[in-house]
Formats: sequence, structure tokens, C-alpha cells
Amino acid sequence: MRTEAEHQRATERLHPRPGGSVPLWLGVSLFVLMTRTIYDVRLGFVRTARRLIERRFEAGAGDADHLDWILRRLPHRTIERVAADTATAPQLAEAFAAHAAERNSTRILEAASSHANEVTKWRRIGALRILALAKTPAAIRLLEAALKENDEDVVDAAVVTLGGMRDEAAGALLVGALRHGGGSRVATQLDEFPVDVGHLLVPLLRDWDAGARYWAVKLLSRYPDLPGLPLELATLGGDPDAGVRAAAAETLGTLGGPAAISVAVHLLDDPVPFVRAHAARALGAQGRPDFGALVARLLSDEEWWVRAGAKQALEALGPDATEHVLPYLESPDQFARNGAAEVLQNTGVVDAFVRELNADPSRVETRRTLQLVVDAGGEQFGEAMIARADGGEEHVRALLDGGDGPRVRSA
Amino acid sequence: MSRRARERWILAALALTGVAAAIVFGSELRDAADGGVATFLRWSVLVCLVYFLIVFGFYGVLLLFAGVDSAIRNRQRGAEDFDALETSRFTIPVSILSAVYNEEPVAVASTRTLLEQEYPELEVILVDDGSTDGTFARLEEAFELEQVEVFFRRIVEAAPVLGVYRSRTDPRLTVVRKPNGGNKSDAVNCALNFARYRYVLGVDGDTMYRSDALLLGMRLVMRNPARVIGVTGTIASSSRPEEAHEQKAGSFSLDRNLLSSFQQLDFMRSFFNNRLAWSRLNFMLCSPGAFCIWRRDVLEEVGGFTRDFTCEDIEMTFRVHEKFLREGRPYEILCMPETVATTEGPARIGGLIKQRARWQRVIMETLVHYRRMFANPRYGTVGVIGVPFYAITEVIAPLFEVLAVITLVLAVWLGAVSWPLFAVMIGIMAFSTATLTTAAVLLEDRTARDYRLGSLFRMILLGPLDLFLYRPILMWARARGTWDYLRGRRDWDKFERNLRPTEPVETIPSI
Repeated sequence: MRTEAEHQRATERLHPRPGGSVPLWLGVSLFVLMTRTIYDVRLGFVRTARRLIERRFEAGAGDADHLDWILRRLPHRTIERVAADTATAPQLAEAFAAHAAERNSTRILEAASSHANEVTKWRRIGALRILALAKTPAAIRLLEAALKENDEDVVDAAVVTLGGMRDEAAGALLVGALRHGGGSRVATQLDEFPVDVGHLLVPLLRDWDAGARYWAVKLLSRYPDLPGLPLELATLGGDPDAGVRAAAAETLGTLGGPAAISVAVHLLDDPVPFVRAHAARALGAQGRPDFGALVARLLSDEEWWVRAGAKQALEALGPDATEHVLPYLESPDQFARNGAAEVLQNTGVVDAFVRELNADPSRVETRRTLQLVVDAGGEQFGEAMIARADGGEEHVRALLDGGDGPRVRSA
Repeated sequence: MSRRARERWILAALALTGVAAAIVFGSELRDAADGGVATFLRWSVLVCLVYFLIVFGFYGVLLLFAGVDSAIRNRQRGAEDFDALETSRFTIPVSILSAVYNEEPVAVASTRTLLEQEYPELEVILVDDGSTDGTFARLEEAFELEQVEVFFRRIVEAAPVLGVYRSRTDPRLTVVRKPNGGNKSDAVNCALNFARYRYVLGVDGDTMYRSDALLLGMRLVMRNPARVIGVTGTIASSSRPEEAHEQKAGSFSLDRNLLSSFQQLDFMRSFFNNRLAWSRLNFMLCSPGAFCIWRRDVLEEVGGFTRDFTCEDIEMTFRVHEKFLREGRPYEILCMPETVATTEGPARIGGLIKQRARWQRVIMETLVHYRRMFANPRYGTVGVIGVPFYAITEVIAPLFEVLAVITLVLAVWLGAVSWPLFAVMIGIMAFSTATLTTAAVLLEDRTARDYRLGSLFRMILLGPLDLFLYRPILMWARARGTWDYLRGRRDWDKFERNLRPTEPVETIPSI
């Protein structure tokens, strides 16, 4: 039998104690406040360093000793983190990277070579950026190796770092990365790349990989002066990959010229809808109102985005293409009627007709055209016309009251 | 007599019966304290304790994953070239879908934050869902709207459109007026019909967005567009989001309103401690309506937002999970640690109760509807961890909360409370909650360094008070939400906007 004291002890053992929760809360709280305080102090140093560097950059002279003093007071991890962060101002990043590469070159080179886990992976990424910023000769070789890694983070960081290097070797590596599924991230860097890489992109137009061809076509719109480029691109108007055909139409549309027109006209009948849409926009980009007739027929295309592309193209051609759009107000196809009315509204043609009506309400041709527009556009189109009539609401209302026609609202 | 009045009478009658029974049988019950009631108390304490341990265990484990996710995402952000993404023609264009209903004080400011996004190509489709205040008048004046006709696709069901307006000052803005559809889903569906781009961002009309919000979100999409079908971000709460929006990073201060401060901490816990872990473990349970990027074809495939639920966001997230997992399609719905927006939180207790009761109702509606996913390995981590997590921490929480209160009242009444023990228990709960709060503050601070040191200190100090000053309100709201669900309520229950010094605008008639 248990004694009273044993029973008391057993009961106490069962009782919870505040024990862990208060020290845990205190510990985490202190950690939050301490890390933040340390961060703020270091941020102060970094800001001072930035000011000094900016002053040196602007005035051609600065307090190098002061900067050195600051850098010596910051832990190497902070210096490396600041240097490796893409959000850091370029001059500051370069100064910090140069300091880090000089002070810990062996360790940084080693870190940039490979990684074994998540922690060392981010050290590697930081080290690669530091070496690139410090213009270390080994950087390009290490970045090339990083591009071939399976890890998405390492590859992405290598792409971003190469994009900031501004030399032909980096450009060649990025172009090579397009062949290995680099996609839009590589293209984003190449599109802003300050060194001419057009000649490196042209061979990709004949690459077996459709992705590489696609991005090469897209990027080549930056190099309109490359000899023979329009003809090279025109051959891709018959590419088996629909994305490449669409890109060819788009790029040729930007470059202009006979090749652009012939490819775009040909692709208006492409079996793939988005290719037709791109072809329509490419023709719209030529700024020749006579192409309105070719594009306007796509207002009755079975696919929504082709109709949208046609509307965009006709709007780009502007009021001068009106004569090609007006016949579609009487099209048996509801989508074509709607689309034509919307194009005329968005190009300001309807407003111009309303102004004409205000000036001479008895003019039969204007009344008839506006009636056709309202019938094609529907009830809400009329309301929009009244709202924008700018003093001529009465005439528009009278016109609407006299008209009839389909009341459809979809495209 | 209306249904609501009848229910009130029934509740009053039950309460009176309880009081009468206590008066008449009080002495007998006290006599029986050593018997049945005491046994009930012991079991009740034990059950509540086990529940408490399970819930905190869940939160603790999730916190570990949230920490890992936050660290990785922060590193990834540090290696990203945002300048290039911001200007690149290869950055994927986005249609922003905003729904407003009686948001006169904030609609213009919120829309401006959308148009000021640092993003190369976007359009804003704002649907005025039959506002009866001066919302539209303010928008019309601020953005010089002119009526136009736009022909759109009817991909998903929505109420008919009354008028389409385009801004003269910014052609990227289209405003659509329609009659009120009863809930937000109808307005978002309407906006979806107008969207032109492949990705859409759903937003709230009462929320202020940081200028890099869209770019931060789409960065995750662009990393893997074939797999990432949805992205959400961290949302902050404030009694006056437009004022909070003006604060600069590093100098954020905590809301002056105490209730809003607690909500701010609550949001931090929810996003930093839970959602980052959900994202890491691939069971994002809710892409909140205030910021949810979706691939448009996914929304079209599932038929748009449903009007059968009180709120559209959780249900949509569950529907997408259910469909993709059932069909075995690879996908990801991610949450980023960066705070992308500040939404308006109620500054009054009544408003908070209304809002949280609705949230509770929505969770219950969704979980009951998708009950087949519960603990079902076919639905991966969503079924095995996510749905049980919601069921335990949200759906049945009111049951245990009410049980705990009843136990306490009974124990006090019977004189069976050991006050020192009670104080220790409450202390453990208060500081455990506070630790979770502080952990959320830590994750926020390491991600953004938004708040001043003084504000961090204040947040930490508010942590232990949460249990006493904030949780009882949530407890009541959850109980009310559960009751509302059982009654079959479907109302939106929008809380009244917080008071602001504002110029009166001529109220326009309902359309």
C-alpha cells in the first residue's frame, strides 16, 4: 500500500508544469530580436559602404581606407551574401565580390565547383556569382559545369549570372543552353544581352530540337540587320512544329518585308489556330490597310483566339482599313458582325460616324452605316454609342429607336 | 414568426430550462459530484488535453516544413533576376480579375495598386458586382471610364453584363457592371469570361497590392509552367490597408487597433506557419481569393467558380486537387513567403465574428462536400494530411472548445477546480500559442525585414495575450459558424467597412 507521501508525489508527477513552454517562447523571442538587431547593425555598415562606393564612382575618388575598414568589420558570410544577392546594387556587389574573392579565393572556388546538399548548393550558387562579379578566369568554366547540372536552382542561377556577364563567352554558353531546354529563362537573359549573339543564334534555326528553333526565331527579331535572316525565317513558315511557324510569322512581322508578307498570308490558312492568329497579327504589323481584306475574313474563324487576333490586327491597321471591315457588318456570321462592329468602335470609326450624324442628321449613308453597326453590335453597343455621343445622344437615340436587328452578345 | 426568430426563442427556452434545472437540482448535482459528473470532468479534461496535444503536434511539425520552405524560397529569390523578368517580353502576360461590391472607400486605391504592378504585360478586369454605394462613381471619376462594347466568350456561367467600360487613362483597365450575384464567385466568373491571357490572378477589391506581387508570384510559375497551375502569396491584415500600403519596407508598424494587431498576427501564423508547409508538402488547402494565380485553362476545365458554396476560394482549390489527383495528373499549387498584399480586417469585434463565422462555415461546407478525400491515399498528401488537418484543427475545433468551456464551468460550480493546476494549464497553452506566433514573426522577419524592431517586440509581447483576448472571439465565431452551417445558411455576411475620413460621393442607384 502506498503511503500518503508517495501518493502525493505520484499526483505531483501527473501535474503539468509550465516547464518547456515559457523558456521556449523566451528563447525564440530573444532569437528573433537578436538576429534582427545584428541584421540592422550590419545593414548600417552595408549602407555606409554603398554610399562610399557611390561617391567613389561619381567623383572618381573616395575613402578607400574607410571602405576597407567597413569590409574588415563585416563577417565574410555577410559580405558573400550581400555580393551574391541579385537585389544588391551592381557597384556594391562588385566591390564586395572582389573583396570576398581576394580574401577567401580558395574556399570560394571550392564552393563553386560542386555541392553535396541543400546548404552547400546555395553556397555554390553564391560562390558562382561572386566569381563572376569578381571577373575570376575560372568563373566561365564553373558556370558551364553548373549549366549541365540536374538541379533547377543551380541551372537557373548560372543562367542569371551568365546573363550579367556581358561577354561573348557567356553569350555562347547561354545560346548553347537553349539547345538543352533552357527555355524562357535563358531567352529572357539573351533578349537583354548587351553583346551581339545573332550569328550564334542563326545555326539554331536548323536545330533538330523544336524548342531551340522556336527560341532562336523569337530572339532573332533583335537582329534585323543579319544578312539573309528573312529568307532563313521564311523557310520556317513550313516548319512541322506549330510553335515555330507561329514564331516565324511573329518575328517576320516585326522585321517586315516581302518574306514577312508571303509567310503571313500563307499561314492565315494554317490548320493550327494560334498560328493563324499570329499570322493575322503579323499582317496587322505591316501597317498596310490593303491587308485588311485578308485579315478581316478571320473575323468569322471558328476559334476565339483567331478572331481576337484578327480584331487586334485590324485595330492595328486603324481607320484606313475601314472599307475592308464594313462589308462584314452584313456577314451572315454573327461573330464576324460582332467583331467588325467592335473593330470599328475601337478604331474610333463609330465615333467619327456619330460626329457626322450630329453634324448632318439627315445624311442617309451615315445613318445606314450606323444602323448596320448597331445591328451588328447589339443593344449594349447602342448604349455605349449613346454614352460616348458627346452631345449627340438625341440623334443616336432616334437612330436606335428606328432600327431593328439581331441582339447578340458573344464572340 | 421567421425561422431566425424561432431559433432564438428555442435557444432562449433551452437556456432558461438549463438555469431552472441548475437551481432546482443544483444541490442534488453537487451531491453527485463524486460520481457521474466527476467522471465526466476527468474524461473531458483528458479528451481536451489529447486534442490540444494533437493540434499542437500538427502545428509543430508543419512549422518545421514551413521553415524549410521559407529558407529555400528566400534563397531562390536572392538568386533571381527580377529586373530582367520585369521588362522581358517573354514574361507570361496575366489577366487580373477583381470583384468589388460596395467598396467605395478602397476600390480606387486598390485598383491603382493593380495597375501599378511592375509587370510587363497585364490587363485588369474589374467587375462591379451591383454595388449600391458610390463605388462605380469613384472608379468612373478616377479612371475616366467610357462605355464601350466588348464581345467576350461565355466560357463559364455568370449573370448577364449590364455595361462594359474602358479607362481613357489606362487602356489596360476594363470595368464590367453586372447585377449582384449573391456571392463573389459570380463576379469572378464574369471577369474570367473577359480574360484574354493564359494566366489569371484573382484579387479582392478591398486589398492593397505591393508593386512586385505579381512578378513574385509569376516567377514561381515561370520556373515550371508545365507543372505549376496555381500560386498564392502571404496576405497581411490591417484596419486601414491603404495606410499600411504607404509604409516602406523596414519601417512597418503594427496596427494601432488592438483587434487588428491580433488579426495581423493570426494572418502571419496562418500563412508563415501553415501555408508554406502545405505548399512544401503539396497540399495547399486554400488559395485565398485575395491573391490566387491560376492557369486559366484549369479554371475553365473545372467549370469556373461555383455558386453553390458561400465562398469560392477554398472550394476551387479542393476541386482542382480532387480533379488532378483523381486523374493522376502532375501539378503543383504553391505559396510564396513574400507578403504580397494587405487586406482590410474588421476593426470591431462584431465584424470579426461575422467574417470568421463565414470562414468556418465555408470550411465545413467544403470538407463535408469533399469528405471522400478524407484519409484517402488516392488523394496523396491532400487526402492523407491536408483534409484530416482541416477536419481536426477547424471543423471539430468548436466541439472541443465548447467542451472545454462546459468542463470549466462545471468544475468551478462543483468547486472541483485546482486553481494552481488550472493556471499552469492555461500558462502552457498561452505560451505554446505565443511560441507559434513568435515563430511566425521570425519567418516573416527573415523573409522581408518589413517591421521595425519595436514592432517585432510588440508582436512578441502580444503573443501570450492572444489566448485571453483574441481566441475567445474566434471561439465564439467558430461556434456561430458551425451553427450557421447546420442551419444551412449561405449568406456572404460581409462585415461593415472600417470608418475612414472620407469625402461623400453621390450615391448611384442600384443597377
